[in-house]
Amino acid sequence: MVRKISFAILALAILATGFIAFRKLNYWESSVWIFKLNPKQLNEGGFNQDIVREQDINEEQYRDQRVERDQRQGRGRGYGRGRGNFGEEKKINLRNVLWYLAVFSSFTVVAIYLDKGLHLIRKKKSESDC
Amino acid sequence: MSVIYYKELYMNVFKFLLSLCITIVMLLLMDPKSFYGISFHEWAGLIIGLLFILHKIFNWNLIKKVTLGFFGRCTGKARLNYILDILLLAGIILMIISGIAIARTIDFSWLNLGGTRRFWRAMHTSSSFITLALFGIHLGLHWNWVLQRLKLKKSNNGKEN
Repeated sequence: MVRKISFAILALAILATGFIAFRKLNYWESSVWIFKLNPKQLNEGGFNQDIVREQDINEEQYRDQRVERDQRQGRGRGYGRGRGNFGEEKKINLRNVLWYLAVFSSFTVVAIYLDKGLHLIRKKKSESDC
Repeated sequence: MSVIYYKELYMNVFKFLLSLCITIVMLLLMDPKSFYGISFHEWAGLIIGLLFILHKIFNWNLIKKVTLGFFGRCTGKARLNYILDILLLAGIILMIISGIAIARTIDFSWLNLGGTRRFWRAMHTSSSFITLALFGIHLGLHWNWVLQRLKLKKSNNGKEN
């Protein structure tokens, strides 16, 4: 009994974290992004800052494009910001990965309990039929 | 202990480790900046496709059995898992193709996939998010198998699933 309660509490904690992660990562908007593009946007190239989510902006590519534009215009690297380089990025940064793990775990927990629930319903149904 | 027992044991251990590997790589791939940048993201994205094919090969007998019995003697759960697996397959294929279309460190321009970068970027993001969710559901529906591999649950019929 204690074990079942502990697992239930763990499952609730996973679901709560998953819900927070779902909101933080704009999971629903990202999942349906392809279905929301209209034919005009499909034919346009480049990035439209209004549509692309903040987390989808490829900062490195945007930076590279800015550097190329500055160099074409005869400006040095880091023009306008007074910095010579863009700083060392961390090679490993698992913060967002943990949020994705939370969402993934939530879906797993939901599937586990739905499966258990359906199994119980089928079992009770077959017992009542006997 | 017979040779067949050990063969099945090693196969199950290998399948478990392969699935674990796919899960970890998939999670690392969700954020291109999380682990050694875009270069790792693109190469690991191709490798996960190979791992996925390997996963299918090692479960081929079950896939064949369910395919042949889909409209016949399959259980509802087996049918649900089958449909889910087809959606997962479609998701992974779309993820890889769209990833190839927007690749920056590996040159795939010779493939001439067409389309705009916006379209492929949206396809890549949407397919990866949906596939991750389906992946979670897939794991949940196979949770008993995972517990049996970890020796935390005995199988109902004395055989390994």
